[in-house]
Amino acid sequence: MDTEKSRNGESNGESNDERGERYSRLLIANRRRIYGFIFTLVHDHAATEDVLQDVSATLWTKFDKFEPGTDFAAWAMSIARFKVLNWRRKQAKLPLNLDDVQFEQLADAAVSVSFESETRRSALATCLAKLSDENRMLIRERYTRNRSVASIAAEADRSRVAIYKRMSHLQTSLLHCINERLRVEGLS
Amino acid sequence: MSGSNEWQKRFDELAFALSEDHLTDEMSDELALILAKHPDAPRRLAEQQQLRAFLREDISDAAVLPMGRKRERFRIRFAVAAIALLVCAAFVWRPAFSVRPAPMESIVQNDGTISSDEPLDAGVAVLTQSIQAEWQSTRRYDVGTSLSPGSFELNAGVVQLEFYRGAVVVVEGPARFELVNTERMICESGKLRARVPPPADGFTIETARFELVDRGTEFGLNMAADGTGHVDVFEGRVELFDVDSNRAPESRRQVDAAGSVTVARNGTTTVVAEPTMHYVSTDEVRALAANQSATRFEAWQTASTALANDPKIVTRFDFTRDPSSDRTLRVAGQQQDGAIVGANWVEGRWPQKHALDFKRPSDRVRCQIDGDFESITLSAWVRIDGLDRPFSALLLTNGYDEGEPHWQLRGDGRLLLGIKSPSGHIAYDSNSVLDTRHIGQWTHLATVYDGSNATVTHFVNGRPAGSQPIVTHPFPLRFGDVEIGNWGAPVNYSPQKIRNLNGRIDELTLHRVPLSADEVLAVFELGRP
Repeated sequence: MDTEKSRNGESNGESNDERGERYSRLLIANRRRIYGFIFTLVHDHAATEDVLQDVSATLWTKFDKFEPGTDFAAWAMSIARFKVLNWRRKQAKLPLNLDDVQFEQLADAAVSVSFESETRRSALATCLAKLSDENRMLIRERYTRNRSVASIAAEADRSRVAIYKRMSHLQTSLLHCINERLRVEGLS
Repeated sequence: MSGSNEWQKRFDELAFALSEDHLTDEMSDELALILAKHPDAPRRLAEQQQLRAFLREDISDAAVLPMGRKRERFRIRFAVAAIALLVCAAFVWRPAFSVRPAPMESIVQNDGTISSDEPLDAGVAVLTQSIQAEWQSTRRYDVGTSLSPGSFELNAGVVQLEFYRGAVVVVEGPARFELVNTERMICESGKLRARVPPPADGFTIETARFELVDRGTEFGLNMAADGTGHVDVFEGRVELFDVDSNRAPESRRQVDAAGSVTVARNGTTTVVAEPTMHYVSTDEVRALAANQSATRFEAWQTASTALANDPKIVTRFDFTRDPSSDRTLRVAGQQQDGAIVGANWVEGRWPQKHALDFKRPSDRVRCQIDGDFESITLSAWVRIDGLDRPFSALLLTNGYDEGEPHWQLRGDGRLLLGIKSPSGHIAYDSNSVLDTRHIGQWTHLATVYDGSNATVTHFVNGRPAGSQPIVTHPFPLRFGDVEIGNWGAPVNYSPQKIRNLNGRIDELTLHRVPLSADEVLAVFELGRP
């Protein structure tokens, strides 16, 4: 209620600093989930970072509306959904064209998957550990260090097509492994 | 793969292209279409994208869920408690006790009934024959090895791969190829011949220029260094598609038996009158393997006979069956022959070689070894069929008196030499190197107790597998009454502990000297199946 808020924005006896700290903690704890959600709808890392910045700023201005104890990520994702829609409308060309219905379906799927974020990430760690050293290095070089396929191919004395195909199969295999782990552990 | 999952394969390809920013307009439309058509597709795309987002971080340090860890720790505690119950309280536990899960390859294939803590077979094909194979990699691929998805470079020789889905492929080196899954491989260069039975229909080989889909039953493929491909169909039919065309009907070419085609680098297919080359078939490989096996057995036999007079050897069982006395295990040298109880004669490392099969709790060989020794080397060729108990006996003295060694395997894959010392008991453990990959495979085990250098070193297949210092004051080792494959426990140990070996032995040697690492490797190389 407004009467509980003082002039400098305090509510529930919390100082502005404390509020800021609480916001930061929540954002850091949920950043991965929110990032994954945006990326699923935007398909580009740089653009995702931009949208995430925008979302974070809005989350902060609207932080009073967030009910402590509820799912911060869920709330953030509902705001992110609008942001992504706006971003998509502004693009001259989209990597993947989706009509409104398809977009909503994909956004809903992204929310659902984000709820499994921690267990999936943990399963991924296990699945990565089971890879051969060669495959694990390949993933690290391509995805974490962001090396180009051309440069990896040149160093491995393989064609770009071969590396590309290998990465494609690896991604499918990793996803299969993750889904199986979740199924076996009864978590999905 | 059944038809219902076909969309998934294409979908994954497109999703990957999306992640790589390689999506053409056509592909983009195709992806949108699949998303609209299949209710599971949006979910799968979300899962793929989340995975990509994860991979961007370096999650090599990501913690495995506490649930998994706790289970592992619980199993260790339970195992320790169980062993403590079974074993005399005088045993001293070395602080190095730890259970490392055996490193397994690549991706999981899970039927849902196995717990997530057990190692799973990540292979897509098993190597069933290897004739003078020389691999580019320093890794060793023995017959029986389960191969995981990945690249392979065979410089020379012939190997036979049996894909889990059923296709049998004979590859002749030099060849560069990649295994993708249980029904798909990539051939960059080299010659191969594939036999595809009905369950494996649809077995696919990708090359730079075309995708070959077999519809039963047998064909040969040769990818030359200049990029030209030759396809010879011996039986049945194959289909060729332009690579990356998603098996577009326009690019489909059918080749029936007994047809041959050549595919040039630019994709032009030319029908050829007859096969231009010879492809090694599975029958030929079998004949080559039998020949190789006979040669190796003869070489082993010659070497084995020579060892009968080696003064460094205390006792040597070569597990040659004596038809006149089925229950006697003949020994070379001065020691007594062994008495076989229960264990049956079976095939050893080669068809021509005998071995004893230890299965039932009563199976054992009783013998006697006289003498005191400052150093010893124990070495044996063992086919481990299971490590499902805390201890599996290799060579154990009856009871456990001072100076007596117990040579055995632990359930967690370590080789163990236990020595009863004047002040108690010392357990010399190897690293945990034995795992499910060794089950059913002939493995060379050796342990060197070097009294003068005060070290104990273990070897598995000729390679060092852990070493520990001897910290006790020197005392001689002695054997007396011993059992192979089991333990004749003294009366005051009760209940009778199950530590009978589950497996086969076809050679066991005791040296009175410590063998060097080179010498152990030589023993291994000489006896490799």
